[in-house]
Amino acid sequence: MTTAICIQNLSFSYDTPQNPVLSGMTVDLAAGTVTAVLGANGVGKTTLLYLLLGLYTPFQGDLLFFGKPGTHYKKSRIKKFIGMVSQNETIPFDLSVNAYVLLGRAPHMGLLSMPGQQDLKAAENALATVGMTHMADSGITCLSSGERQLVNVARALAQAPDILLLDEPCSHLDLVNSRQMLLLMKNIAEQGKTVVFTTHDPNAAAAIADKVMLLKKGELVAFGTAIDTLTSAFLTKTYGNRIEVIPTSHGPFVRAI
Amino acid sequence: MTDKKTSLIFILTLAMVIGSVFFGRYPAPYMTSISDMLSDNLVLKVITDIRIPRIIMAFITGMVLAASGTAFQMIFRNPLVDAGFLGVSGGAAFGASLGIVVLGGSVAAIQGAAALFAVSGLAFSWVIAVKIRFGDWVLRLILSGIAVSAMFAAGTGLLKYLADPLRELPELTFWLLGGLWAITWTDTLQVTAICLPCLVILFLFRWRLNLLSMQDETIFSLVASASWERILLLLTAVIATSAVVCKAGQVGWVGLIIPHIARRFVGSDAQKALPCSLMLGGFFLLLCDTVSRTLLSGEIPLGILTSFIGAGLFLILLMNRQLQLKKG
Repeated sequence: MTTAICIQNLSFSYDTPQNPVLSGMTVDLAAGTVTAVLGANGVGKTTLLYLLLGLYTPFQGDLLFFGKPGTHYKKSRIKKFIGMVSQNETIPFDLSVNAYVLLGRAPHMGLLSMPGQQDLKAAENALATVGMTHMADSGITCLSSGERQLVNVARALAQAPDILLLDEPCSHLDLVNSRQMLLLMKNIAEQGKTVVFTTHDPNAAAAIADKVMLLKKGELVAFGTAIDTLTSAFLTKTYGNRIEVIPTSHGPFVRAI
Repeated sequence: MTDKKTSLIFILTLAMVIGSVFFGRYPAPYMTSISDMLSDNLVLKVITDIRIPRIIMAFITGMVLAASGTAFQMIFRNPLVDAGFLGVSGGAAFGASLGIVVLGGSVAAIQGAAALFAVSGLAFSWVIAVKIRFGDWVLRLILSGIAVSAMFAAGTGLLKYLADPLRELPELTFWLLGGLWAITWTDTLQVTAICLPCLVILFLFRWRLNLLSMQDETIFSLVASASWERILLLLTAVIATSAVVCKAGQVGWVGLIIPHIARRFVGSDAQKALPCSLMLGGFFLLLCDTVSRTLLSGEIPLGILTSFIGAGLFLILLMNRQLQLKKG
């Protein structure tokens, strides 16, 4: 299987190297898989996504995409194959859902171009993928949190990325919407895209992730399949609190004690 | 539907531009007929040498303030921002006050100092924003802009206090209230030469404004050249605003309310909202200026009319339930 993302000895700090947010991380993420990044608040989950996006520069280590270093690609090329859905995206103006999703086409358009037929079609397909076609003309501020999150994913899908990064995509979503979001991510990965998402819910990771990454204070506690990583020992070490893992027919069920 | 509204606004704007030629105080108050124009050379000269350059200037001023307001609001992700932020208007007011009170009060001194300090307002805001050590760059720039504006306002206040109450203070007060009474063809051509390229740039980048109104991480994931696009559009908006403010004085509210009204008509998508803002801005300022020079025998300061009519229109628009916000 092709390696989509290769993280080699990655370290990052917001201020001095003596105070790293992430240190010495090395993992390979295969194309067409879902990877969940788990860890307590402030351990560097979002920072890792921003490093993958290229928003931050690591002070040590390398990031390879499809076998080539990130620096090998032109900035405009990277925008075409890495999409990002940030946590709690705020949109100050009441764009229509369709106009908002069309923004995802920016990397494929010329500097002064307006969206053309191809872009409209891509936006339409992206909305269909997330099941929001019927809301295309609605204002984005009229949507519920769940609907808005689906539209955010549609915007990222319109970008036609090979790698999709999602920062806590299920936060603020109710049980049903959360389930829908997880199934959507699984579905996207089955189409050959590489999905990396952060979450606070180990059960969400257990439900869909091919690989799980456990982080504690910027260091990798464990990386592997859900069965291998979502164990009481690893999770207790990750969260610093006793965690119980109950095996079920659907995979591990995790709860804090 | 949106296209129909845009076409209607275009037709109304065109009618306003043509119609305004026939309004004025010479040879008789209010209306000037075609026969007056054809029969009296002096009337024709008043129209071609005074009224038409002023109409063009009013229209360009309206377009510039509205388009810049749209750009500022979208780039700063804040619907309450206009040229008053970033110290541009405050700098222009201070510069003009300096021109009147200290530099002798010639037209060149007033306009030159106004333009210089308007651009300096941006430069100061920018330099201070770089030095601030917290918040994202939009917050830093707005905070430093507010501080720079306040300092310029203090300077303007001091110059008002020092001004000769019989000679300089009335002129200063009148400039601060805004007006196009002294506009000549030379002024109009100078402003057009600066503003037209700026308006073309803003128009061409109108869809990108949607992108630049997103939060930083989203912009970064979609746009490779966001930083220079922001700088280009901000500089373009500031240069155009400085060019019109140094000739027209302080014309408030246009940059704030016209973008809102345009969004009410055609939706928030800047691809449609910016062209609509351009037309509505031109229409609105031309309407106010026509009233300003026609209604009374003396000129009514433009800034008073734009604030009064603009705020009134805005309140009506906000309270009218039939004018639902258009998504787009």
